[in-house]
Amino acid sequence: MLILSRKIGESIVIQVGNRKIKLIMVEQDNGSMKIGFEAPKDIKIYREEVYEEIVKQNKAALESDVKRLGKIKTSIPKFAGKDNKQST
Amino acid sequence: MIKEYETKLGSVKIDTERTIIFEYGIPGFENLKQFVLLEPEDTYPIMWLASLEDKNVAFPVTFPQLIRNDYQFTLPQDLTEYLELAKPEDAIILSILTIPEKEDEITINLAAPIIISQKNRKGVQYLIENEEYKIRHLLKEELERSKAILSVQKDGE
Repeated sequence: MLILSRKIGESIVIQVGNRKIKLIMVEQDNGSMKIGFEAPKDIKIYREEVYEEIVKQNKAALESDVKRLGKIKTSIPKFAGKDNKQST
Repeated sequence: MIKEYETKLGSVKIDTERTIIFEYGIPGFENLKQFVLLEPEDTYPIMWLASLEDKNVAFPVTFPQLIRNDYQFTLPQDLTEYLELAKPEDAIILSILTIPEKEDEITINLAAPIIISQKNRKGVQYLIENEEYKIRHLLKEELERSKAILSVQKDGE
């Protein structure tokens, strides 16, 4: 593992092909670091444990059997039409 | 063009225009890009986001507002641009369910919904930065919560 020492306000640049990701050390507080990111919009940045949990849940979802829905299915309301709301 | 695909729900004939492209994949399944939303009547309102490339992959999904009636979030501008969403109705919002053997343990992912654009047929699994929404919510508790909200609203009339 590469270990670099950086001060607040300093940055690290990661280059992948011709694309760059910049990590900026913003603030340090009691052993916790605040890091800013500048990256192309299609690069997704996640907290590792959150990303791993999404992966875990997605994989667990594949084991689903809808026959197991039992009584719960009848308690899910169905509305007429495929009405999807989203706030913007 | 109608094409036949093998999916987890069996062989299905699909208009290729209904294909949903997950250009950036779905966490854990980054290699799969082409999906379709199957809406079999016998499982509705549970639908299936089925891979057209791996017949073992189909996620059970439903509309999160059926489970949490006050569910809402704001999409960042780069995402609405990517999905070409001019108005909220241009998006289909879905949540992935996990249905284990015990009915009481069924969970819904409200933190990372699937967003599908009806404009350009692109899809993403988006992580909402809101502590209220978790990756695992018990379906049973959510349904009870929504029911309680509705009954309060009724009493207030």
